[in-house]
Formats: sequence, structure tokens, C-alpha cells
Amino acid sequence: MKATLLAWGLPLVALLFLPLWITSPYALHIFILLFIAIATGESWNVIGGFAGQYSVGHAAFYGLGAYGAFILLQDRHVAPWFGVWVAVAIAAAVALAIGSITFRLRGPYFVLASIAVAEIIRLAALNWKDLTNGAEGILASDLPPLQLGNRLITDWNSKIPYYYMGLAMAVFSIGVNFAVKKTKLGYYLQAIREDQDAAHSLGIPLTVTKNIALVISAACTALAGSFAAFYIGFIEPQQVFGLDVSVQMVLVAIIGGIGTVSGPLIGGVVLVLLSES
Amino acid sequence: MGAFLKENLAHAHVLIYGVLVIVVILYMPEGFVGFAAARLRRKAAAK
Repeated sequence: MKATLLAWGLPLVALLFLPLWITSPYALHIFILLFIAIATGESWNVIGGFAGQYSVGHAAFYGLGAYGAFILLQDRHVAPWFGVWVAVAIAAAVALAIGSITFRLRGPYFVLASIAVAEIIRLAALNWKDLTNGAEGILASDLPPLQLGNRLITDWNSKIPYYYMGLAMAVFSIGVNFAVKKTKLGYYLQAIREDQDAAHSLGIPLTVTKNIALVISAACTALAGSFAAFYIGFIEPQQVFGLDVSVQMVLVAIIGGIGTVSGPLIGGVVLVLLSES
Repeated sequence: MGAFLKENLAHAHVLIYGVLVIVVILYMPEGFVGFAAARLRRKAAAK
């Protein structure tokens, strides 16, 4: 236990103080991309790693998070730190609806259904021009400064606030994975991954358990999607709903180690460094 | 050297990415973490 705390705590403390030494915007940009990759990989790991349900349509939730917060900011002038939670709730509700239908399928049929759902949502975003601006996308303008009372926390002009928000998001996703793994839900999911019929015969409610995992996974993915969208400052359907976004999440978990908490972290480091080299 | 790599192997990282994915899927089906854990377990058992 002590060794585990040290293994996770020391790098975290180092990352907290890193912007004091590293001031290069490019280096901070790499770290922010790394945090996004870790957060999405860890989010996917809840349903793909622990439950063994290989969803290749997670871009749907990533995009819903991005579009939800962006549309609320542009059309309703809702500040992102409130709009993000609405977007997360929308993604969770959509996940519940999708899960109730697609979890009737197993194995490769579930994979195909998850891809199909993500494509349906991408095409809807592409053609619903009044809401999403279609293929032209949405550019984030006038991001309001973050204030606590009258005190200005940040006006988003440097990468440092994004660095800390990304770090908090990655740590949150890792925490969610730890929490899921150590609770009854985690054991249920692992039982389902190993043998669905045996788990069912022992009284584990398959659809409910898988749906809970999908909602948790979708909510974390939407959070990462919202953050990534505000960091980049522009979204369009292919960029956030594309199949490559889903594949990237799956690869982060597969390369690092599927069904482990530290796997997506290692996978994220490898893939981000490789793609930015 | 840098110029040569930029001119001729500008997209080499995509190739490395693909090779890495194939190698991991074929030889490390449980990923880097699973592979390292199995190696450590084997080492401990040998002792």
C-alpha cells in the first residue's frame, strides 16, 4: 500500500511543480496532450478493460462533451466550467440509452454496433447545421476568464492553466479507475469479462452492470472531450466524432495494458511521444 | 542527419506506430504493463 502510494504520489508531486522549471509552451503542450490521452484511455478502460466490452464508438461521448460545452458557450453564453457538467450529463444520458440497446449484443456484434452509433451521431452533427454549424465547425471565441468572487484566477492566455486542468482531469480518471476496480462493481465487471454466462448464473445483472460501467466511462470521456475542445479552441464533426478518435483511445489502453490502472498511463506516454516525434 | 530524416522519413513515426501496435498485439497481448508483470513474476519464481 505504502509502495503504491509512493509510486503514484511522487510523479504527481513532480508534475505539480513541473511548470516552475519547464516554461516552453511546446513542452507544456505535449504534457497537455498526454493528459488528454491518459484521461480518454483510462475512461475507455472502465468499459473495455474491466468489463471486456470493446466499444470502438467512444468518440460519440468525446464529441458530445465537446459539442455540448461549446454550444452552451456560443448560443447560451454559459461559462465552460458550468457547461461542461451539462455536457457530461447529456453524454451519460445518451450512454444509458445506447447501452440499453447495444448491450443486447456480444463480442464483434457489440463492436460493430458501437461504431455504427458513433457514425450516426457524427452524421447527425454534420447535418444539423442550425445547432452544430455542420462541417464548418465552431470556433471558441470570448472564453470568459475564470474568477472566484472578484479575484481573477486565469484569463486562459497561457498554457499553464490548461496544464493544471489537464493534470486534474487525468488524476480524476485514474482515481475513477482505482475506485471502480476496488469496489463490488469492479469485481462484477471482471466476472462479466471472464465469462458472461457464468457471471449471470451467479446472479450478476449483466445489462445493468455493463450500463453503469458505460455511463461512468462516457461521463469521463465527455469531460476529456470538453477539455480538449476548449484547449484546441475549434471543433468540427470529423475531429471529435471520427473513428480515429475512438481507435486512439482503444490503442492507448491496449498498448499500455488493458484492464490495469497503470496501462493507459504507459500507453498514453508511448503514443503521444511517438505521434509528436 | 536531421535534414535527411525530415526529407525522407517525415512520416516515419506512423510506420513505427503501426509496427508497435502489431508487435504489442502479437507478443504482448496484455500490453506493456502485463508483459512487465509477467517478466517480474517469472524472475521471482526462478529465484
